[in-house]
Parts: sequence; structure tokens; C-alpha cells
Amino acid sequence: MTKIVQMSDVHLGFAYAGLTDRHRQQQRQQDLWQTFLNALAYCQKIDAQLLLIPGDLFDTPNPDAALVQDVQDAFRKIAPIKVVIATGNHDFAYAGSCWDEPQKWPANVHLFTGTWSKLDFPDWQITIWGAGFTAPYAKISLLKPVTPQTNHWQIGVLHGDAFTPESSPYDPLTAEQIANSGLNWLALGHIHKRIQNQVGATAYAYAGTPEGHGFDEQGPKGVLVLDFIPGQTTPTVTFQPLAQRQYEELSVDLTGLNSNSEAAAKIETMLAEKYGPDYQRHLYKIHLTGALPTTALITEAGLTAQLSVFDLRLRNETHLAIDYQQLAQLDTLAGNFTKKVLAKIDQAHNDQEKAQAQLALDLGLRAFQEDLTNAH
Amino acid sequence: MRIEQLNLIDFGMFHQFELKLDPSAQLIYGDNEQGKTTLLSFMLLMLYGDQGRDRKGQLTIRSKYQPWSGREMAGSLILTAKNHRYQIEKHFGKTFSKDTTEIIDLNTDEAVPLPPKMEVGEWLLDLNLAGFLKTGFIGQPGIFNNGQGQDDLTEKLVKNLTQSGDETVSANEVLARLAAASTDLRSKSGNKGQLVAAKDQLEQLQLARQATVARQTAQTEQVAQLQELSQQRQQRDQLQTKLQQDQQAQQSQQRQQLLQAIQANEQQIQALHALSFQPEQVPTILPKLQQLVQDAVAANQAAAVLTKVNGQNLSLPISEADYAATAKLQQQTEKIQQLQNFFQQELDPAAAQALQQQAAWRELTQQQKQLTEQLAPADQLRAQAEQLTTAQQQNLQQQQIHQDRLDRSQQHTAANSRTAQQAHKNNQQQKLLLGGGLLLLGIGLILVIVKIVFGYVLAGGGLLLAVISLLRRSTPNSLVSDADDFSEQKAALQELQAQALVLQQQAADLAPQLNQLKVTEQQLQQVVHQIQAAQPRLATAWDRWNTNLEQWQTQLANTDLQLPELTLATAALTELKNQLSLQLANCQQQLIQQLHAKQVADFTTYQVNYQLQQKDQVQQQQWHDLQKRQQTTQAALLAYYQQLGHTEVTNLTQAQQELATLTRVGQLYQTTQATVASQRQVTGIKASSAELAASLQQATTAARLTTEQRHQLQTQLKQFPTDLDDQWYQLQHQLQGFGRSVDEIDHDIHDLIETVNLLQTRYQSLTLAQTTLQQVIDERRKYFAPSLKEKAGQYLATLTNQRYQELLIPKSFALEVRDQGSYHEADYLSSGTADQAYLALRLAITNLLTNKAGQSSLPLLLDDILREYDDTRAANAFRFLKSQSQQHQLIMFTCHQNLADLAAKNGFVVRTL
Repeated sequence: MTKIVQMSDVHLGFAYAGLTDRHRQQQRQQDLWQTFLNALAYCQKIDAQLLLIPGDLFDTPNPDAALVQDVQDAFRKIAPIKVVIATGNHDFAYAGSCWDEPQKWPANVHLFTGTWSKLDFPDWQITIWGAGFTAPYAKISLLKPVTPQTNHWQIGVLHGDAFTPESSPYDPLTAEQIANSGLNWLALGHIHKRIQNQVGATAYAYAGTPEGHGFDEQGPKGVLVLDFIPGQTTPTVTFQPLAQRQYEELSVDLTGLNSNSEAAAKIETMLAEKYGPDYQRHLYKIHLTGALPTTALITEAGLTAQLSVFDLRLRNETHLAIDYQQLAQLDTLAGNFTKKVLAKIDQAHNDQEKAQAQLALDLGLRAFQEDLTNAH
Repeated sequence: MRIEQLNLIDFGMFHQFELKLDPSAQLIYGDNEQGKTTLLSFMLLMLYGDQGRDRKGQLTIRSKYQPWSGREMAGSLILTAKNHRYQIEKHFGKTFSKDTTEIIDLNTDEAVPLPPKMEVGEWLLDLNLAGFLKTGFIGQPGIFNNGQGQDDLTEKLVKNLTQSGDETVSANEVLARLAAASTDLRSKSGNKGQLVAAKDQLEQLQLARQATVARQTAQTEQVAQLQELSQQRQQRDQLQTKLQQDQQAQQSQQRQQLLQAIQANEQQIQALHALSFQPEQVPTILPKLQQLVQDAVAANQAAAVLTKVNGQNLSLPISEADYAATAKLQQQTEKIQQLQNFFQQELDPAAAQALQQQAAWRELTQQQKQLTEQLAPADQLRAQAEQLTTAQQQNLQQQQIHQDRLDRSQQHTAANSRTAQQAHKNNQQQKLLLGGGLLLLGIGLILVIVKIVFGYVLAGGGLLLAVISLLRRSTPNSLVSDADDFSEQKAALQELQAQALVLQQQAADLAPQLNQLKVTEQQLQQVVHQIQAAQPRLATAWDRWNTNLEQWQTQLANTDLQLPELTLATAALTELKNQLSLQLANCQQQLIQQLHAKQVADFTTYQVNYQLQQKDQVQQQQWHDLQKRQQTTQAALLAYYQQLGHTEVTNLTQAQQELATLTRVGQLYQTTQATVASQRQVTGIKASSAELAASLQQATTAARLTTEQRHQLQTQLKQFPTDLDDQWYQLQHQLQGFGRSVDEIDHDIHDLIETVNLLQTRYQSLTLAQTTLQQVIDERRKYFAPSLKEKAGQYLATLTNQRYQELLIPKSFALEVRDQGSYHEADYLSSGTADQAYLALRLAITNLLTNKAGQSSLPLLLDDILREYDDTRAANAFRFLKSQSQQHQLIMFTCHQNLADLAAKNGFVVRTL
């Protein structure tokens, strides 16, 4: 059995500029590097023969020289594990790029920085095929069909887009191309989400990024472990989480709660239940929902101050705990206002209009009680 | 709600004080400081808890009415509300949070829990403290006229009510809060609001994304360019490598050649050593030896030559004196020959020419002299001719005079007039002809005198004209005068005509002499011309003669010859010619004698013999010198060899052989050494022969390029841009500026769009809330304002006995009362009327607000509101208020006795403190 680890879209050097706090940016950059090292260590731990990196190892085509040196050193340390890298659209190869000096890369590293070519590992009965980006775009598919061989694994390593091939300038890969590739396994990079599929005789997968880069990359992140077992046509795939932190998005119902401390306690309880006692290390986007008493003093700022997590983004979608129908019966300004807005909610053409009117009702009634500029 | 009993357990000045209240209307009377305000404050505190500061804004009611007994502030109320009878017990702590409230339903004797965060008044009256103060509590009159023309409290109340119908909050405040929140999204504290900032940020991100995409597109091209440049660099590097290899091969070759040269040089060094010479001596020894040998050989050769010429003998010896004398004769002979030649070729012809010209000149001057003499009587003849001419002119004038007289006589005769005129005309013509002829003659003569040929022609012409006129004058005039004068005139005329003929004859006689004179003058003129032509020739001849004469004298001065003086005379010339010939012959004779004495044919041979004789003497001396030099040079040469340690060299031949060997080896040594130095200089190679040999063993032998191949490679190399590397690095540099990736920007855009959408939704919701609230306010204003106006008007009419029936509440909130068809601001009415209007308005507001379904009736706390009223107005007010007691429990306070009396008369229960 041959054990291979597939890791892609690490984007080493990613700045995490989306985080407004500089210290958190630096921490995330350290997280990314640590995840990369952990992945290499994991390869050693499981005695992997090969590490496949189908593109975007670096975030830019011209990464910092010190970073490149560190990466080269890191790969050198895991020898004899073979590292096979195909350049991606972010770290494409060009004359003078870090890939352009093969002598600087350790002997256990093989680079696919151009057209479709192969690398034979006869001892393992494996041939690895691959191609690399040489420009920010590769509008024509880099994948070429190979001849299947009995009792021999044909593995592809490629950065490409198998989901929007009709319009993608990033090495578009149609299902037909993949199905006719003659490959047993196609290790893909570019999509940061973990996806596994099979067309024809070819199985393929995106390992996804091992460390998330934003709230559009939520959930556990890591690498794929591929076990190529003789007698099987496709490998056995296992996901190994490695990310230092996760991006998570969830909703918390604050109905009936009156204070920030009550709300914070409820949120912390929920986070601990969902993400374990180590929940504080993750990054959260929390939608606050539910009906708050009119007397409730819950503010985003106050709540943020009481929640101790690495990064928090709150979306206040709560509303006042008021019996709107009863209020609408009163012949007061607030009653008349409520009655009128409820009518608009009923007449809303779509959910967006409805939500907008609902929020208008909530804000209007809050305005009868407090200054809205300080509320949120 | 109606309050039955107050129980002030400990409150201010009161301790265990009970006061039962009438459910309808009552007036609590008491002097100042009797506790009226304390009771009023107690009720407010029981219903609404902490009251904040008092009207003076100094102390809270809680602190102001701390029990004088020092006990805990406490009290209770018994009241009826919502069909229940309750006892409210309160214990007041130091602060609001320490208060305890207990409500007991007296119907069931059960405690009733007060909803959280709610006061008793709010629970039972559905009205918060602010609302109660605006409705259930009516302050003292005069507050309305607070000096500013408006009552702030009433203004707010009226404002709220007229705008929104809601007494608890200002509709404008709500709108303002919504607007502030909306504005807050757009701008905040002079900066961009959240929404605007987020949109701007989003726009910037989208622009950044576009720029990044564009940059990536450009990068694609740059990468392609970079690839092309890389290929070019590779090709260039290959060419350079080939050329470098060739250069290396060339260097190997040079090293090989150098090594060979060094080896050859070392061989010559060994050869020099074999000859017992040190290589470093060669540059100094070899030239010196060569020079010494050359000197010795030259001395030998010179000596040998002189030995050959030595011993020649001359026929006759010529001494210097002989030679000098003979040479002098020779020179003298040559000089005489030169003088003779000069005389014959130059001087003699010049003298002949000068003599010829001189003779011609003399002949012409002689002719001139003779002709001049012949022209001596010319003046006399011309004077005579002039006299004749003058006489003729005078004669003509007289004839004219007489003719004129004849003409005048003829005028008297008509018949003869034409004839006379004709005669006169003829006379005129005649006169003119004669005058002209004479004039011409005169001029001609003058010209003749001045030797002009034309003068003769003129004179001839004039003479001819004069003759013609005289001939015409001789024509008979057939005029006949019929007067005597005419006859006289005619006779005189005839006489004059006769005289003219005589003068004419005299002129004809003089004409041949004048003609001869003319010819002579012409001859003289010709001679003068010849003289003038001969003058330059004569001058030229004289110049030539004088020039030659000077040369002659100059040449002669350089000689010792004695010759006769040379003059321009034939005899002198002949004499000199002869003298020259004679002296030449003498000199030649003496020279020949001298030559014969030495047995030579001519002076040249004599001279050669003399020179040979002189040379021989010199050679004799030279031979001796050379003998000496031969010995000296050979000695020096052998001494030098001795000095060099070559004692085996004992003669010139050996020295020459030794030198030949040394020269051959030394030259080879120098040549090889120069070759080595040259190659080192050209190639810059400083390595020793051993190092060279070692390096050549390691060097790979690559085939050298031909010149053509090298040229082709260099030409190809030149075709590459010189800044190829710069271009490559420049592109590299451009590619380094990648900045943030599109994906990363997309992450931010994704987050920001979500934020913008949320803020946008909030903004739109705020806008919707504002517009909806504004609609509600507008609708309520339409509904409430007329009702308020109507009710307040009714109350005012009742209070004023129908004096004023309408009350207007403009937007300025300055109450206006209608009187006699027009509105007047309440401030301009009497203070009593203004207070009536204020009371009417407050009660109208209270009734409108508390006239809602399910709402408990409101106890009205009236704090001495009628103290400014006169008795009539007060009585009206009490009646009006009594009518209100059906709807509200009235609890009125005053310190005025008259009001207590009036109240009692109008059905109020009066309680005195």
C-alpha cells in the first residue's frame, strides 16, 4: 500500500488583511505557517511516501525569499518523502521565479512548472502526471489524457477549476476531460473547499485549504490521506483536520434575555457545545436573533466585550418582545405606527421587503424608548 | 382611580397622619407651611416612586421629605382602581432600588405583585410619571405666564399632543432619534457614517479587484515577454559561452606558445652559459664587442686601403706659390674673357644703339629748328590777313548802312517796294554770306596760328563765303530811287563795293603765302611728332647704356686691369675693345707659360695635379693615423675579451669568431626573451613555465573557432539588445509587485458586501420607520388637534361665562383667544383670562387623553390653580371643576380662605390642615 498526502491551496504568505487587528493578522499568519509544518510532520507521522501539492502553495508568484528558503528547508527535512508540487494561478512559474531555480529545491521535491509531464515511481507502481501554471491564467486546460496501465497507479496533480469549466480562466477541467484522462486519481487544487467526486474511472478531490482564510472558508480544514491499496482502482480517502483555527458562522436566539451578560453566557454555552472547550480559539460570525424585552440592554459592543474568542463578528437580527397586534390596537402614536408597519409587512412582496419592514417596526418602537445611535 | 385615604406613617413633618379623601371633589386648605405640598408630594411618590428633583431643581422629594422623626420614610394609600380596592404600602429606602412596595387587594386581602420595573401609577393608570405630570397634575396659575410668554411644560404637552396624541414622548423626538440613527449611517461627527464608509470601502475594494485583475492580465503578457527575454538571454549566453570557450582555447594556445618561447629562451641561456656568458650581460657586452670588433676591422680595412693608394708620384711638384700665381693668371684670364664677352655682347650693342638714337634725335631737332625759322614771318602775314578781314567787315557794315538807307528810300515808292525788298533781301544774304565768310576766315586764321589744320579749312571756307558774298553784291541793283538821298546812298554804296573788291584782291594775293605757311607748319608738326616718338627710344637706349656701363665698371673694379675710360664714343669704344684683346692675350700668354713649365696642357690638368698632390699628403698622414688606430682598437678589443675572461682570444680573427658565436646565441637569446616578454605583455600571463606546463596538462583542448566563425558569433551577439538583462530585470521587478490576490480581495468584498447589505437594510428600515411615523403623526394631528381646540373652547366658554368661546393653538404654541371675531394672544389678555385659557387647555388635554376605553379615571391634583382669580371667576371655576368631578377625583390645594369658602359653596368638601 502506498500512502500519499494531498494538501493544496496553503497560500503561504497570505496577509489576512481582512482582519482589522494587526496582532490577529500576525497570529493568523503564524497559524498558517504552523499548519503547513504540521502537515509535513503528519506526513512523517503516518509514513507517507508522497506529498502532493496541486498548486497555490504560495499566495503570490514571487513570495518572500526567506519564506521560500524556509519552505525548501522544511521539505528537505521530511526526506525521503517525495514532495510533488504543481504550480497554481497564485504561485505560477515564470522566468526568474522561485520555481525557476530547481537546484535550490531539495532533491526530494519535484516540480511541475510547465506542460503536462510525468514522474515515475516504479517501486511503488505509480506514475505521477502533472502540469503547472506559468501565468496568472491558464485558459486552456492543462490536463492531457494518459494511458491506463494494469496494476499501476496513474495519478494526476493539477491546479484547475472543475466546477465552472465553461467560463473559468483557471485551467478549466470538464467532467468529460477528467473521465477520459486515464488517471486513477486526480489531485486537484484551486477550490478551497474539500470536495471529492468520481467521473468515469477517475476519482478526484480538492483537499481544500488546510487553514481557512475567511468566513467563506468555514468549518474544519486539513489534508487528505490517500491509501492506494493494490487491487483497488481508486484510493481510500481520509480527511485529516489540521487547521489551527476555524471560521464558523452560527445563529443564537436571545429571546427573553435582558442583558449582555445573559446573552454572552448563552452564546458561550452554545459555542462550547458545538466546538468544544477550545472554542475560544476560533473565529465566529454570530447572528443574534430572537425577541428582546423592551427593557433589555443588549448591545453589540457590550456583548463583544464579554465574549472572549479570537475574532467575533456579530449580526444583530433581534427584535423587541412586543405583542405587535395588541399594540396596534392602542390609539397612541406607537400603536398607530405599529399598525401601519404591520400592514406593510403583510403587503411585502418578498422576504427582503418583509424583513426590511420588520426591522423598521423594531427600530421605530426602539426609538420611542431610547437613542438608537447608542443602541448599536 | 379614586384615592380614599392617605396614611403618612413617616413622611416629612407628618407621623402617623391619616387623611380621608372624598371620591368626588375636595379642597385641602391650610396656611403656608402646613403640609399641603408635602401631601401632594406624598401622593406622587406613592404612585410613581422617586420624583427626581423638586421644582427648584435642588433636592429630590425623597431627601426633602425625610421624616423629621428620623425613622424610615413610609406610607400607604387606599384607593379604588379597575374595579378593585387596593392598599398600597411603601417603605422608602435611601435610593430607589431600596424601596419596597406592597399591594394588597382589599377585596381578597391578597397581595398583588407589581409587574417588574413598573410603578403603581403606571400599573393602575396606564400612564407614566411624565404623562401623569402632564395630565393629572396641574400646577399653580401663573406658571403659564412665566415671563417668557409660554409654559415649557404646557408647550411640550401641547406639542406632543397636537402632533402625536401621545403624551409620553415627543413625536419629534422619536423622529429625531430615527433621523439621527439614519444620519449616523451616512455621517458621524464630521466623518463618514458606517454605511457610507462601508460603501466607500467596498468601492475601493472593487476598484482594487479590477486593478488586480487588470494587473494579472498584464502579468500574463509580462510573463510571456519574460519568457521570450529568457530565451534570448539563453541564446546570448550560449553564444557568449562559445566565444568564451574559444577565448579559453586561445588562452591555452597562448600559454602553449609562451611555454615554448620560455623553453627556447632557456635553451639560449644554457648556450650562453656554455660560452661563459651571463644572459643578463648580453645586452651590454654584445653591442660593445660588436663595436670593438667593428672598430678594429674598420681600422684594419682603412689601413689596407691607404696602403694601396700610398706611393703615387706626380710628374712635377707644384708649390703653393706656383699654384697661387697660376690660379691668379687663370682667374685674370677668365675675368678678362668675361669682360670681353660682356663688352661684345652687352656694352657694345648698347653703345651702338645709344649712338644711333642720339644721331636720329639730333637730326630731328635740326629739322625742327629749320622749320621754326621758316615760320618766323607767319605772324606778320596773319596780321595782314586780319587787317584785311577787319577792313572787309567794316566795308560790309557801311554797305549795310547805305543799303538800309536805300531800303527806306524805296519804301516811299510802292511800285518799287517788292524790288526794294528783294534788294534788301539780297543785301541781307550778301551781308550774311560776307559776314559769315569773314568770320570763318578769321577763326581759320586764328586756328592756323595755333597750328590746327582745321583752322585752314575754316579759313578757306570763310574766304570762299566772303568771295561769294562779294560776287553777289556785285550783281547790279536795278532799284531806282526817286529821291536824292537815294542817289547818294547808292553812290556811297557803289564806292564801298569798289573798296570791297580791292580788299578782296589783297586777300587773294596773301592766300599763297598763307598756304605755304600752312605746309611748313604741317611739316613742323610732323617733326615734332617724330621728336616726341624718338624721345622714349633715346631714353631707353641711354638707360641700357648707363646700366651696362655700371655693370662694366663694377666688373672692372673686381679686377686689377688698367683700361681706358669708357665713354659713349665710337673711338673710345674701339680703343677699349683693343685694350681688352691685348690684355687678354698677355694673360693667356703668361698662363700658357706657367702650364708649359709644369708640362700640362691646361689649367684644369694643372689644378688636378695640384689637388692630387695635396691629397697624397693627407693620405700619408691618415695612413699613419690608421696604423695607430689599428693597433689601439685591436688592443682594446683583446683587452675587453681579457676582461670578460676569454683569454683564449689573442687576435682579431679569434675575436671575430667568438663574437659571431656570441652574436648568434645572444641574438637568439634576446629574440626568445623578447618573444616571451611580448607574449606575456599581450596575454597578461605571468605564470612560470612550470605553472604553464601544469595548467596546460589540465586544460581541455577545444577546437579553436575560425576567424569567420568568431566573427559570425560576434555579429550574432551584437544583434541582441544591449539592455537585455535590464529589460529582464525590469520585468522581473514589475512581476514582483503582485500585491494582494484577487481571492483575498474577494474575501474582503464578500464580508463587506454583507456588512453593506445589513447597514443598507438598516438604513432603509430607518427611512421606512421615519416615513411611516411621519404619516402617523400627520394623521393623528388631523384627528386630535381639532378635538383639542373644540373641547378647550367649550371649557373656556364655561369658565368665562361665554365671554370667550374659542381657543386657538398655533404652531408657536402662544395661546390665542378669540374675542369679538378676532384672535388675541393670551399674553395680551388679563392674567386671569390667560389662566382661564390655560386651565381650559389643560383640562381638555387631560380629558382627551384619559377618555380611552379601559383606562382608569385620573385623579386631578390641582395645586392652588385659582389664586389669581377674582371671586366671580373663581366661583365659575369651582362650578366648572365640580362638573369635572364626575370624571375625575379632584384634589385641590390652596392657602386662600376665600377660595375655601367659594369651594364649599360650590359643592367641594373642604378639609383644613
